[in-house]
Amino acid sequence: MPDILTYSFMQHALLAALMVGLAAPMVGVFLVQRRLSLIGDGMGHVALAGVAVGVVTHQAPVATALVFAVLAAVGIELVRARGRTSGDVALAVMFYGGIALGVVVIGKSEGGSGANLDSYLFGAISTTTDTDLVVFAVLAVVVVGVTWALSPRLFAVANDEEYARATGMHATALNITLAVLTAVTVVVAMRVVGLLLISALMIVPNATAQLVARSFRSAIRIAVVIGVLCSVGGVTASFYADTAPGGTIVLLAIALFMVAASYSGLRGRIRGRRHNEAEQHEHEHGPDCGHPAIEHDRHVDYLHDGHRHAPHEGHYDEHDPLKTHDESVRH
Amino acid sequence: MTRTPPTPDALAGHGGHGGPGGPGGPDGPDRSQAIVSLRSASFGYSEHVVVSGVTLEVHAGEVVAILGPNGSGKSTLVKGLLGLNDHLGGEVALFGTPIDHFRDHARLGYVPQRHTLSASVRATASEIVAIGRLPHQGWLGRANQEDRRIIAESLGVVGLDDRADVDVNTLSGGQQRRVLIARALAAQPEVLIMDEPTAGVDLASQEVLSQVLGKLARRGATMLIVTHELQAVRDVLTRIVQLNGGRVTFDGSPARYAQLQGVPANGHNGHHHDDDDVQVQSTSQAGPFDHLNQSAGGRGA
Repeated sequence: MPDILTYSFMQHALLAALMVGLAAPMVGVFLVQRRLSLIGDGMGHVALAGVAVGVVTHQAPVATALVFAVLAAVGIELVRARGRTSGDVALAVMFYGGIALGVVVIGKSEGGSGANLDSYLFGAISTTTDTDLVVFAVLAVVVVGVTWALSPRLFAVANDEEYARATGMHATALNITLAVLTAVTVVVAMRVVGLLLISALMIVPNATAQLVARSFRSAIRIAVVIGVLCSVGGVTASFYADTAPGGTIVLLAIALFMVAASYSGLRGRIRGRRHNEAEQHEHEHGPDCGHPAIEHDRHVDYLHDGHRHAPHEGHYDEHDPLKTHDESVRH
Repeated sequence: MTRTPPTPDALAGHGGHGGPGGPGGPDGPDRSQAIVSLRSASFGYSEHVVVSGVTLEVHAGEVVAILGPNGSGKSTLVKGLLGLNDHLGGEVALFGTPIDHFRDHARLGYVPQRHTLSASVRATASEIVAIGRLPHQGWLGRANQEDRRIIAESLGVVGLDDRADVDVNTLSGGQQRRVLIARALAAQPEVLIMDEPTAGVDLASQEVLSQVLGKLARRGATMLIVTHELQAVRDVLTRIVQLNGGRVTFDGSPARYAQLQGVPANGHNGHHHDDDDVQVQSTSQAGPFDHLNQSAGGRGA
């Protein structure tokens, strides 16, 4: 057994990291889709007030944080559903109010120092207890299960809310559900990466996946794999390098993002050099456009006045007229 | 008459829907049979009435253009039918059911007005069209083989079967509009409600869109098309309803409308439109979907 696994606190830490790495990107993809990448950050601010209230009143901080974050989530969606332009400001008031309340309340606690908050702000994964772990596991299973079950509808509402409503979907209820899932994820992740870095684990793996994926489905899968790799890898790295786990996880995720961004930039440049765009093209090719379709190399070229036009994004590429291997004319 | 339950053939309707009474028959149609039935209806937002006093019946097989200048209330009218704004007065029934009790939303296929389908995340054309299947799936359900077949067929009807796995962000505006039509078709609706399907797309795409609408009309699809570009849809219409200032100012055949406008029936409608060269191509050509669905009756045939 590797020595990292001989410590029970590291076993706990790795399990917690695995759960967060799985749940955070799954919820996060819908936040990215709805252009709400920073909402998790705001909920983290409000959860801090919950932690402080828990510490002062000798309740479990995780429970009070959960109550505060879920209330904030419902509040956010109700403000957004009203569609007022002042909604943005209302959210800012709520978020800053949360963090300010947290700081003030914690100051009133016995011992009264901000040090109590540090483990929540920056994560304290190695202090995770058995009870914490069970609570996180239950919450993570609920988040992953509900997100998976609702994912086609969450995708539909985030893609086109008006259409979703027209087909009878309860868009507001789905949006509130997503906000609550986000709130729960924030609370599960606060011990692992810390309230200040939670949004990163929900968003950065998805940003990376968007660079390499070809479809929404594949993007979710890639993001979850990246999330798990980064959270488990980050905890492991922090054990050997003696660094803060939360920060290490996020830096790892950002490093992967930068690798993917350079790769996709390079690929775009190479393809751009290789591909030859057809001249201004008024006609649109399609299965019944009248031009012979030639299937080859897993795509279709349309024979147009001696040129082979292959649909590519919003235009047509000129393909080599002499290329004849492995092809069959469909018309 | 009891309604025909939605079947795969109801994808864009088929010949069987133009039952007794016929499309737009003026001779006292059976109210329970009307797809859309409005009596002195008004719609708007909160307490603000945008369209009022609309009395209108649409029957299976009709292709109705809803015309009118910007702000005349045409979009508000169709959005009202879809439950997207507030029903503020009069009677509204869909398939014979009062709108307040209507729950079978999949019977209405909505193609929203959108200049782009730009998504903030990657999504393929078939993933977008798959949204149309959701009303037919349970909460834990996922697309099965039948769903995937209908998704592929819907993309075929709009001529985008070769782009099924392409990220919609890379498609042209007209192609994105056709993805939205395919999404509506995938729900197997009994009427298509389109909001400005041809607005703001380039000439080549507009021709293809006209062909798609022609193909749907030949299959007997019932359509309500909000537009101010009559040219692109005029060959498929059976009826024109014109709105102005939130009220219906004309309801009748395209020929009668043209007569009132003082232009030949197949002539220009006088609305702003710079593309006089648009020729709706021959609609007799068989589409790729036709052989898949032999039961599709051709009204034009």
